[in-house]
Formats: sequence, structure tokens, C-alpha cells
Amino acid sequence: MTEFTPFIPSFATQQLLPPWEAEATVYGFGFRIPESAIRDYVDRYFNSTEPRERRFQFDPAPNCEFGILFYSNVRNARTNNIASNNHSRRSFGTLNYKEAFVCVPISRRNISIYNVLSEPIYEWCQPIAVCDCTTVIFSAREIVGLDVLPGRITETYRDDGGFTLTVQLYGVETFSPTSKEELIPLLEVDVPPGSSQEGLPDERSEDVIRAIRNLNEKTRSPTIGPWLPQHMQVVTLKQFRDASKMDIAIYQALVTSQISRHALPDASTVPILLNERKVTLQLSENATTREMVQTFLGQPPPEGRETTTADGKEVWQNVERAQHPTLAFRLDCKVEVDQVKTDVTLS
Amino acid sequence: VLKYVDSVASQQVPPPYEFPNTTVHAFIWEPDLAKVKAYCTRFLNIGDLPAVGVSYEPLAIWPYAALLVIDYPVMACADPARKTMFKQQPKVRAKTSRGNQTPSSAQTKSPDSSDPEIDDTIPYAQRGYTSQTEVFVTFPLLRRGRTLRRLAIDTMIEWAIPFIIVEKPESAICGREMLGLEKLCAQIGLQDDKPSGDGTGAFTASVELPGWPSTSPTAAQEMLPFFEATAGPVLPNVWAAPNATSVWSLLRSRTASAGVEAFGVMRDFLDDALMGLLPSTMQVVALKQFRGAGHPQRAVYQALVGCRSKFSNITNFQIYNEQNVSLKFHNRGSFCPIIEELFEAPKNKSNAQEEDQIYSLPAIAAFRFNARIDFDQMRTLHTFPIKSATGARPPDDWIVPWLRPWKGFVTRTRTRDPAEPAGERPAVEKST
Repeated sequence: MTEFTPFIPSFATQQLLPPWEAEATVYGFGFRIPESAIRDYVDRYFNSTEPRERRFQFDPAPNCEFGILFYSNVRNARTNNIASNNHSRRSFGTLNYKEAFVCVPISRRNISIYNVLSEPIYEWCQPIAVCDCTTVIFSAREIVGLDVLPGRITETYRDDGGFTLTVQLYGVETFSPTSKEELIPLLEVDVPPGSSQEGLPDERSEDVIRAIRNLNEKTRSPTIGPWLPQHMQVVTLKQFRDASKMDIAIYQALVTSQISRHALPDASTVPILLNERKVTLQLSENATTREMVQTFLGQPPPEGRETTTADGKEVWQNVERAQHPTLAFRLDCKVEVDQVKTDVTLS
Repeated sequence: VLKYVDSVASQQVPPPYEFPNTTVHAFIWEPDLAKVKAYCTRFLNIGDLPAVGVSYEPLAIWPYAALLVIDYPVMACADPARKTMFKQQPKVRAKTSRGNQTPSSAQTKSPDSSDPEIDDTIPYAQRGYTSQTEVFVTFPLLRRGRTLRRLAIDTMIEWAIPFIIVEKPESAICGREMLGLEKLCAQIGLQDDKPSGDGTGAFTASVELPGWPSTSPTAAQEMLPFFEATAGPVLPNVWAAPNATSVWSLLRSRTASAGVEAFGVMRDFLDDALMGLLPSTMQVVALKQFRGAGHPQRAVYQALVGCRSKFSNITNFQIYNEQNVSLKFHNRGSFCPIIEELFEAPKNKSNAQEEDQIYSLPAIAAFRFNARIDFDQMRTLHTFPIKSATGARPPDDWIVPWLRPWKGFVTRTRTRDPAEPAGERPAVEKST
């Protein structure tokens, strides 16, 4: 008799099993997030149960009021899960996909049975992630617990040397019974030609880099180049709904995984800094995306939002919010996702 | 009991759903019952069968399967009151033995910060709708109680769906995570000329699915043709005459055709009284399971889940000449397992899997109709104990639809001590 309950693989679960590795071209765009927004997020998603039950406490990482928007064009992703060859009856090849996700540093302290908080460990959460490959989406959601959304991601390397990235999601522009779901814009990034930074980063970038270096010291992570952490420990809330009571979770667990970036044999491993003042991030705030945009960036400035009154109700208009990141870089590397484990099972 | 924490990024809409004005193209074929039985053994008759209490087997009295192509112009939440669960959670502070309290946003929120302007008061049904096309295979199974008592009250017909191909990724995510349906996302091409009396009105469908063309470890996933269907004009038409054994020969009069429509309406009223035996109501059963994060070969959750798909307002029932129907599957690379699992396809040798072999499914009947479909009554039939896991296991909910109003009188509810490790001790039965 086996000591565990075997998963029964099927045609629909031909998944990318962790650990996996790939080559990727990565863009990173740092931006500031108020500590209160990070605290709201961790309170809502990680600290929502009674401390007595969860035995841990998440907080924003001190002096790390930033997030990094990563865009990765991933090539040749393949599993390193040796057991999968025996398990899945047949194993298959590689995946190419594009993904965009936001990483935010947070800290976790365990609560002992005497209600004593332990020393913090520093991790990253991924509150927003979009991918264009359903095989990866199913794997990330159902195995790791990442809340990855399906979308369309388009990258364009222009003739003039510039780079444009667009991310679209399935959703509606306005909430209405007659609104039909379609691909709607979430993000557009414009990196104009000649954005490569010459010399040292400026003051705004230096602030974020200082915070990242501070975090690297706490996590004792080696770096790629002078400051980009080589290993990022990601924590996710893996959860599934009950079939009959959709507001009840039949399974909840904290899952940790590690994203590592390594040198490619034939490419520079140092992240190339881009002039963040030339780079533009344009976020589209509409009915579907408003939640995720405002959660981390707050409400748009009063002059940027318009309200009208319809039937005595306020109607929020869709808003395009353009801003410059506080840090921008590009990197070609090998990516590994490993050390995936269920840290704490809540139910 | 833990609340599901609705994510900021979640676009999921929980069932029940309503699908008005669908167009259903149905192709009936005769499966190999040995393969159906093998499917039952592999996916449904798992765990400790005496403890489960029921088993699944092919339905000998109706040994057929259906391939359905359904066009949904509108898919919407059917519960007018159901709202998103994305709400500000009450802040919970962890008191420490040192008398400290960990900070919460209530204490540290800056004056200029504010909660997002999320209007969580708009019910899902008022937020919008989607539309898509689905292609799936389904066959009926007999769920049979293993004891005399359970044979009487737990036996019924349910439908298994080995795979569902859908167009919208959010539909795939909801189906997989909420109900355990084997949904995959694909590009579906549909050409459905409206049937008319002059013999036109052909139907074609094609499915392109992400797959690997071979088992080579270096083969990259790409969109590959998976399935193609064509059907000639509906009967009667001038192009071909059906043979004497065609289903059409039974229904070639307008009176009979109208009778089918009337029967569809009548079945709406008879459904519960007939124990779900009629195909206008499909009680679907699925194995809902999730992999462990650290050990993907292990399941962290396994349960049999049921739901109801009910066809009503059936109109425009028309029959295709099955001799003019072509159903082709591409037996290649990563598609081979499902083709070999369901159909009598010639087995590929491992070194020949790069060849795109076509498997043609012979239809014995084909028809189309318009209907309203309601998708509801989601239930967790049985939760399998997870070895090495702890915690409470929810009670079984096998009871057949026609007995549900009298559930407390005829059944006993199984309860489990939350402190008892699941699966290691027998369940405690209490009369209710």
C-alpha cells in the first residue's frame, strides 16, 4: 500500500510539473507602493484567518515599499521532475510562453504555541500575474497556487530600436448585464530607443536598488550583477473552492517556491539598466482591472478621474494612468523554479 | 471551515450558470464498453470501494456515447443575488505573549491611503456575460450502490465527461478548479449555416489544441489540429437519401418532429420524478483532484463532484444524415493518450507518434437543436481521504435527486471527528 494518495493523471493534466527550468529574456520595472497598500494586501490574503489557526503573521518588508513588474519571454521551458516520466505514462517536450507578473517583498514571522513571534523571514508575493499559455496557467494555479490570469501578451521590437509590451486580460470595460467579455487592455510599456542607461543609476533608481540590496542582505541571497537577487523565495496562498459552497475553501495552504536566475553561457548576466525616465508604464483602469490597479497604486489623482451621475449614482470612468517606473532593467538568463513545497496546510 | 479568499486578480464567476439560446450539434456513437469500464476503474472507482459505497459501470441499456458541439451565445451567472467575495477582510491582530500586537492596517494606514474603489455590490449577473463554443465527449454510467440499501437509494445514471474543449480560458479555469471538469482551452472554428429547406445548411467545426507533436523531449508545444467535424445539410435534403436504419426514418414526419419538441417541454416537468434517466437532464460526475506542490505525483484533494446540466425549451430539432457526417481526431503526440483511452484507434508505436494518424469516429446518429441549458446543483458526492493528511472530511452526498427532499428520513449522515486523521479510522455514523 502506498503511503500517499496518488494523483490520477489524465489528458487534461498534461502539466508542467515543478521543478522546471527555461531560458528567458526578462524585463523588470520597479515602482513604489505605499506600505499601507502592501499591508492591506497581506492582511486580506495571508492574515485573514485567526492567528491561533494560522500560526504565522505576514507584514510588509521594512523599508521595502516597492514592487517589481517582471515581463519574461520564456523559451524552452521543461520539467526537471524525474518522477513525472514514470507517473504520467508519457512525458512531453518544452513550452514557450510569455508572462508578466508583479513581485512585492513581504516578511513572515511564525507564531509559536506561546504566541511568541519568531524572527522574520523575507519572501516575495505575486499578487498579479498574467500568462499567455494555458498549460502554464493550469500548472501554476493548480500546483503552486499562483493566481495567474489568462491574457494576451504582445511584445514588439520596433525598427527604431524601441520596445513595446502590451498586456491584455479577459474582462469587461464596464459592469453591465449587456457587457460582453473580451480582451481588454491592462498594461502598455514603452521603452523608447536609446534607453540603455549610461553611467550610474540616478537617485530614484538608487533608492529602489538600495532597498533591494537591503533585502538581499536580509535574505543572504547572492546577486546577479551588483544588486539583482539571484534567488527569490515566493509565497502563495494555494486554495480551492468547495463545489457546493463556493465561498468555502476545501483546501488552503501556504506554498513556497524559489525563482532562480542564472547566467547564460553566451550572454551578459549583468542586468542592463534602462533610463527609467524614458520608460512609460500605462495602466488601464476599467471595471475588470480597477481592483488590481488601485490595490497597489491607490486611487487616481482627482484630476485624472471623472465622475458622472447616472440615475443618482456615481459612475467611475475608465482611466488611463501613465507613469515612469523608478527602476528599469533587462536581462537574458536561465530561469529555474524549484524548491516548491507546501509550507503550511491550513485545511 | 475556512473562507475562500477571493483574490484581487480573480475573474472567476461561480455557478450556477444559465445559457439561453444555445445551438447543440449532437453526434451519437457506439463506444467500446471495455474502454468505458476501464475509464470507470481508473477515474471513478478509486479509493476503498466498500467505504465509498457505490461503484460506476457502463450503462448496458444505453451503450452509446455522445460528442456534442455546443455554441453558447450567452453565458451568465444564473443567481441574481450572488456577489463577489472580494471585500475588505476584518483586520486580525496577533497578540503576542509580550503584550505586543502586530501592526495592522487600521493602525498604520496613512491618511492619504484609501481602499480601492471597488464596487463589490454589483452581482455577477449584472456585471456582464461571455460567449463561447464547447466540444466534449460524454457517456452515461450507472452509479450502483454496493449494498441492498444503497442500491435502492444511491443508484442512478450519471454522465462522465472525459474532456471538454472550450474557447475561453476563464471558463476552463472555473470548470477545472470549482468542479473538477477536464477542461482544456483551444481555438474552435465553427461554421454553422442556418438550415433551410433548399438543402443547404452544412455544419463544420474544427479544434486546434495546444499539444506536442511527438514525445521527443525537445519538441515544443504548439497549436495542433485535434478534431474536425462536418455534417451535411439536415434532412430532408436533395443531396443524399438516408438509409432505412437512419434515426431520421423514425422522425421524418413533421408530427414526429414536433413531438420531439413537445417531449422536450414535457420532460422539464417530469425530470425529478424520473430519477434523471432522461437525457434532457444530465447529472454529470467528475473527479475533482489537485496535485501536491512539493510532490506533484500525490493528490492533496480528491473528491467525486456532481452537477446538473439541464436542457429545456428544445426547439428546431433536426436530424443530420449520419452518412454525411465526418468526425476526425488527430492521433498524434500528446493527443495519443486520450484517443487510445476512448476510441478503438490503432495503437501508435512510440517511434511512430510523430505521424499524424487520423482516427474517424463512426456516427450512428446525428442531430441538432436549440435549447436553453441550465448548469446548477453542484454537489460534492464523496471526498476521498487523503493519506497522511489531517482534518475533517465532509459528509457524503450521494443521494439521488428524487430522494433529496426526504434526505433526512431515508439516509444517515456520516460525520468525522475533526481531530481524527482522515482515512485512518472508520467514519462514525450518526442517525439524523
